[in-house]
Amino acid sequence: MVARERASVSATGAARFGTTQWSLVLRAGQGAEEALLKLCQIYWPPLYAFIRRRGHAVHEAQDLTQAFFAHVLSNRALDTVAPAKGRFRSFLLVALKHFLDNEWHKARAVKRGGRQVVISWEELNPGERDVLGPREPMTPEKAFNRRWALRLLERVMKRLRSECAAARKEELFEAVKGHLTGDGGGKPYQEIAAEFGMTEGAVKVTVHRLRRRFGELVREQIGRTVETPEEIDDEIRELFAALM
Amino acid sequence: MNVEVRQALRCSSCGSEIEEDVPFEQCPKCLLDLGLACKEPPRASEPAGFGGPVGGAAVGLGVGVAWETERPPALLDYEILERIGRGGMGVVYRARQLSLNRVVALKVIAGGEPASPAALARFRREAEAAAKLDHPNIVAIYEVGEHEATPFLVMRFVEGVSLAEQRQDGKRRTEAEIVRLMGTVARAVHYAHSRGVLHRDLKPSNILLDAAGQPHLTDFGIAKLVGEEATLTQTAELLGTPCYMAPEQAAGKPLSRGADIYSLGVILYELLTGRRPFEAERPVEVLRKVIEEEPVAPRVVNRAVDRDLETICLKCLDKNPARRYGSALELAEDLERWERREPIVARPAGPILRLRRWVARNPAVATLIAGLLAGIAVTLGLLAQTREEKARKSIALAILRTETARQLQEIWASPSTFFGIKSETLSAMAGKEPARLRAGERRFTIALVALANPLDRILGAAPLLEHVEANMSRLSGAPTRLDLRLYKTQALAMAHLASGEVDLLQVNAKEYLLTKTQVPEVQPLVRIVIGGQGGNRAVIFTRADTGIKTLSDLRGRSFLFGAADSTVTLLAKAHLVEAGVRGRDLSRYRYVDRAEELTQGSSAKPSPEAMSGLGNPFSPMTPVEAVLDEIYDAGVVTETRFLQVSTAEKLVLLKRFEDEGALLVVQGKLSPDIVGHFRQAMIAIKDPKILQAFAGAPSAFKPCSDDDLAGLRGKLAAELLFDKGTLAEVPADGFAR
Repeated sequence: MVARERASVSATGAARFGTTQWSLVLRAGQGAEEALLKLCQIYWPPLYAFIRRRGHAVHEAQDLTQAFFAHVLSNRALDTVAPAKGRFRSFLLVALKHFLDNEWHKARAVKRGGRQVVISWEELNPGERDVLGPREPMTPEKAFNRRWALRLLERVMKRLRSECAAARKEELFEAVKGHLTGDGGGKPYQEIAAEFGMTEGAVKVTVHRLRRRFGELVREQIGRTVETPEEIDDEIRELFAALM
Repeated sequence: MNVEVRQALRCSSCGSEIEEDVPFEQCPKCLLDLGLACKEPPRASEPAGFGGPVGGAAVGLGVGVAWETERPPALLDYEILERIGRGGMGVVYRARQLSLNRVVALKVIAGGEPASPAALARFRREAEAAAKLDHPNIVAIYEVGEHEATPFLVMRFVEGVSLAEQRQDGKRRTEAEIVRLMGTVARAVHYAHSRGVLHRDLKPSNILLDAAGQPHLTDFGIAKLVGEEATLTQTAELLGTPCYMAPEQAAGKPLSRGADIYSLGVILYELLTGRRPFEAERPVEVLRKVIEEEPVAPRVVNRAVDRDLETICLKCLDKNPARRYGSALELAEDLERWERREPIVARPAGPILRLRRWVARNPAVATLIAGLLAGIAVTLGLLAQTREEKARKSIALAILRTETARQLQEIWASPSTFFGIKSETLSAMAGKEPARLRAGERRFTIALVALANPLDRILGAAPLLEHVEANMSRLSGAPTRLDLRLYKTQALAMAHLASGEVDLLQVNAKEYLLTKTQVPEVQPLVRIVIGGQGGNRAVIFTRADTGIKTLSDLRGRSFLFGAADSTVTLLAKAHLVEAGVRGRDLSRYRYVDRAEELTQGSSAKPSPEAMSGLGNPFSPMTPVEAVLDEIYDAGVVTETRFLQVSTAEKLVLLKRFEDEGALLVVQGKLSPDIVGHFRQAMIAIKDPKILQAFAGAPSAFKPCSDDDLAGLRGKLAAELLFDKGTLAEVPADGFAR
């Protein structure tokens, strides 16, 4: 319970860790279900990608993803794959493998009972569903990690956009976001400056700040899925490798 | 199937492709990298996040920054004097540090633009690594700073020019000067290594020379603390200049000190020969060469180069880091030994080592990296027009990795003399999905001989065979498969053709004629026509200083032929015989692929020079080099090669002739129908891209019959005359061997 309360406090500095530590959330029992559900909802695409890569057809993979969540949320996952420490990503992957190898035929029955719908496939746009299909040969693990990284970045991008929107800078964000990854990736600074009645210098500073903020959000998001701040860099590197 | 066609997006920062399934428009790698780049806490003057003021004109630290101008940000303590250069990373100014009243070099990231995150991180690393170094031959870093997104670096100002600029000015050094310079540089590099810093981008433009000619290493632009876990390396931005890049670096593998030692070897090579070991128009081509090819020995480029320096140089350039010098210090010490005229420690690589290098390198490296990087990928991609086919191309490469590489490794390690590769695998390599097995399917086997890079041979042949299969299926009305067998030797391939184990074989015309005498059923299918300048022609040539004017003048002189069994050699002999010169009339002669030298009198010993480089198929020594090096007086080469060097080296042409070249021949048991279809199927292939991928880059296949080879047949007797000396020893049919 404590964990949940503190998690809602705006995350600042070191306090960010220890509050949303995922394993704590997982262990907190019934009360943490909502938080866990949220994490699962965020990170369903990598799981789905993994299952698809294992050779399951679309509908079967959807069923299995759903069933897996039900399985995790029922807390039975903890009995079989209890991580003393580690990253949420690794935990989910191990739990998923275990599930696919041993549990899913059992869990299927539960799912058919319709205990809890975690992902509403119908609500996803087709692009979001189809894009998970095989792109090029890669191991299910790599597909999982790759999708995880993309999902993370997608979330951060969304978050940054809404922060900008809150500051009434959404249009400016849309105009400069092409520059996030480096210069020359979007509309020329000069054009943006003219459009928004700013100096070119101010646009550049904006870009610089957005980059920094994006980076902070990446760290913050990853911070929720690892045990210690030191692991963030490692996690970034591992995700990086998955994108290669 | 409907496939959405989307133009491949590329990241403007790191250049990598933004894949189709990325749910936003930016490069995920660079975005993720922002997470590492923002690690340092923001300075107090700059509000974190987006909340700060973003509009307005005056932005910054209150030092009157004018972003809009071309000027770099005015940094409080520095007065810009002049711009002195622009490197890969930024602009370098000569500046005065007001508080200390000294002249410094101020390096600012390109033009005062806010840096891309990757560039920023690179810059920070540069500072962090280099600031720890304190060495007279390494440019000292005084201060590191960052102004908004513009980082700067204050360094000792070295009055002078870079080694690159000096070379451009055409300055030539004596070998002793080169050795002293490189010895100093190597010691400085060793110092950095001992402090855990790799340079990773050593090149002449990063070596500054002061007024006294002393070198100062700068631009630890991509230096990285040894042992520190890789971060931006993984972005696989190929940072350094490819020409100086170690093969492992070009392949994106983790680096060790060996990479810097390799770069030192390239600089040494360039200083000694005036050329870099691997040059090409496009960087990707340079990379391929760096990974795949052995450097041409410095003495082949410039005969004046000292033999020991060549050995030192080639030791640095070994593809395997473990076989380079163990440290930059060892290199420095070997250079210093040379200076003192003491024996050096490095040993030249013998033929066995060269062979081992090749074996060790090719299956793994050529398959995994070169195949992806270079022209081979293009070959594969020839037929892969759609995205789906491209995806299959990746599958093809995966198959290559597992299947072919393993087999190649085995064949080179074992005494087995050929290996087969199924039509289905070949199809995959050509980017096509193999059709399912069907009833009435017919299979044939084509044999090719690969002396050098078997993988190249397979990949080059794949698109062609794919087309032959398709054409055959159409012409004969039955699904046709063409399996490939790659042989180590022509002789065995021929034997298998004779026994019917293989159906088609690529062979040179002479070899065919000889086989025909014993296995009359074999017949020619098509002639492989080589196009372009030189084409199928060959020339007999000599040096300008030999005094040889005609073929008859070759009496009493030495001669180097090509491969013993080649058609070119046969024709060259025939021309010599025509001019009245036989083997016994030459002082000595030999073939590039045979070790023994044939001499006029048995007492004449072959020179050790002649024995060292030749006779080894992996030797870079060719007839041109052997003649230039005065090992032989005259030789025979393809006209293409002759034209490349004749003007610069003052070679004299004695005789030009047409080479019949290579043929595709078929075994005798095939029905005339099938032979006819095969001939048509081959001739129908006109696509230059497919033809050029095939070995020798043919321009066309032309029908060929035994009648067409009658002229060459006549020359066989002439060759025997050359070899045996008198016609009395030549059997009447002219063919017995």
